[in-house]
Amino acid sequence: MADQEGATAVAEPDALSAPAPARDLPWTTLVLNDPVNLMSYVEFVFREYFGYPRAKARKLMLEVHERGRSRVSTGTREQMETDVQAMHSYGLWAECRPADDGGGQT
Amino acid sequence: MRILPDHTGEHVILQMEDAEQSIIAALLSDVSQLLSADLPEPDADPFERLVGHLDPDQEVTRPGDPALLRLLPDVDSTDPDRSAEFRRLTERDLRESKLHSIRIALHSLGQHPGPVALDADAARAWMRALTDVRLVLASRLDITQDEDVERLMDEATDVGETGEAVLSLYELTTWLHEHITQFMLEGLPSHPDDGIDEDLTDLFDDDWLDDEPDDDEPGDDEPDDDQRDGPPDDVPPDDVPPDDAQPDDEEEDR
Repeated sequence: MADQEGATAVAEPDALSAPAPARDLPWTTLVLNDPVNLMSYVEFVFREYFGYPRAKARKLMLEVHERGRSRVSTGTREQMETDVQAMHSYGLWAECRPADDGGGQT
Repeated sequence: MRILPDHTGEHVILQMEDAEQSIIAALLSDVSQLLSADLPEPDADPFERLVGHLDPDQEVTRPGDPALLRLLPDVDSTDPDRSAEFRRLTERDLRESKLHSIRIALHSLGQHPGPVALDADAARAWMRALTDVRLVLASRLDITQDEDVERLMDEATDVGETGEAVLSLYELTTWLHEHITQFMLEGLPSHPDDGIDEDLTDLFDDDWLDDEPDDDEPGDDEPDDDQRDGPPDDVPPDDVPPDDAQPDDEEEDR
């Protein structure tokens, strides 16, 4: 898995299709691992709330499970606080952090 | 307990013994009490409540009970001031949304004896409410790491009678949650990108993925292969009567 991601990281940058740099979207929603929430449920929440495709929802879910946390959304502080509160209402453990906080992976 | 979709696939049916219904209702009520502690009366003057909401002097205390804190987490555990401010502005809404889900779940249980039919909205409320129940039980069991559940299962004799009872409730609610979630996952509309980049998931060992229902098993010629038999097992007789009604259920289905 690490190899695959390394390969992705050195792929040629594409200025047109690359996502906006983090500094333009300064806040992030982190979902943290907990021993209670089921992987299927976490995937369900990512698909239902964020509308993510199945593959992306699973990837983020596995990141939470294996690495302890995942950045699941990025945007303005207000948007991220809305997302965090939604995650809390689902029972997921989530925090809103400045995007440059190092609190998660890109 | 058994869970199965109805013939239209639009409802999920929970077939529970009366005792199981009572246990689930009691667990939901416990969490409801935990969440309603210190909340203003629901019929308080809406204007007063709004003012209270906006009043910067109104303190909302960070929960001292770890279980309640897990239901109502900090927005940023590295920033106590921001967390306190966020809590002051949002905690009441969060409590009320959780209480709302519990009320829906209790309502569906309270209708009449017999199978409980959940439509998608009710199933969503059940998933949220059961999550909160499981979070509280896990906190009481001191489950803080992924390995803790397995450890507790292995050393069940060491947790004492109460611990064993709580653990069996945790397993029961986990089983229920898992199957409702599976039903709901199957009902989610597919995303335009589903099917694209699916190979991403192949990078991971399949063991990491959820236990998919084995509906696709070619050898499985059971007509009711969607029907799932409920935790056979570890619920002590004190809490749930033995599953002796299971064979009857089988016959009723035919």
